[in-house]
Amino acid sequence: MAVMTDEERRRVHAQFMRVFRRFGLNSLPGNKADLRILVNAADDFADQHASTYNQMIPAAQRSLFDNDTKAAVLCAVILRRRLPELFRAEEDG
Amino acid sequence: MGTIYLERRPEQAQFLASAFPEYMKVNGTNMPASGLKYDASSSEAAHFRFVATNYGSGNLTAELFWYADTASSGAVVWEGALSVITPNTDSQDVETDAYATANTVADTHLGTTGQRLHSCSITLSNLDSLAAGDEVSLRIARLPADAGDTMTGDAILTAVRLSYSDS
Repeated sequence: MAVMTDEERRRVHAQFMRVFRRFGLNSLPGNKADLRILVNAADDFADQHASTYNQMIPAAQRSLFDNDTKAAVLCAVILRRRLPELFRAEEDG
Repeated sequence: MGTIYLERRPEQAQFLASAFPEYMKVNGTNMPASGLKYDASSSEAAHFRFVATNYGSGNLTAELFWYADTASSGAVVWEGALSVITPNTDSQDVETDAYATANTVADTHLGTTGQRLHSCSITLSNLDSLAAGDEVSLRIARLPADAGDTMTGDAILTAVRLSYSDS
C-alpha cells in the first residue's frame, strides 16, 4: 500500500483539527504546518512499516485475518496504550 | 463629533446554506460561553445586519472578539466585507445584492492560556457607498487558506463591535 495522496493527507489534517477534542486532548501545540508534517510522518510510518507489522504476525494468523482486521487491531492496541479512555474495556468498569 | 458603537453577538448571526461557522454554547465552570466556531481548513462566513444610524463619514471598524478552541499559538486571518443599500434610492434587489471587496486582519494567539480572549480590528475601507440610514450587511469570515492563517483548530468568535464616526 502506498502513502496517501496529498489530498487525503490534507483531509486527515483538516478533520483531525475538527475532532481533536474527541481524543480526550485539550491543547494542540504548534501551528497548522507543524501538524501537517506530523500527519505526513504518520502516514509515511504506516506505509513503511506495514510489512514489518504483517511479518510480526505468526503465519497462521497472518493468513487467517484480512488486512482491515489487522489494521483495526493495531489501532485498538495503540489507543489502549496511549489513549486508553478511547478504548476502554468492559472489564475496566 | 462622536463615535457610534454597535455590538453584534453570535446569536444575531445569519448564515447561508453552506460554509457557515457552527454556533456553539459551552456550559463553562461558572457561566455559559457561546460563539461561532470558524474551521481551520474550510472558509466559513457569518452575516450580521444593521442600520447605519447617524453614520457621518470615514471607515468603519469591526472589532472582533475571539478565542482559540484548542490552539495556543499561531495566527488567524479574519475578513470583513460590507454590502450596503440606500432605501428609496438604490434599485438594487435586496436578495441579490453583493459584497464590496473585503478587508482583512491577521491576529496572533498570545499564548500562555489556550482559550484566552483576543481582540483585533478590521478597518472596513470598502464602504459600498455607505450613507447615514443605509441598511448594511457585514460578512465576517475566516480565511484558513491564507498563508498567514497558521493556527490549528477552530477560532471562536464571541462578539463583533462596529464603530464609526457620526460626523
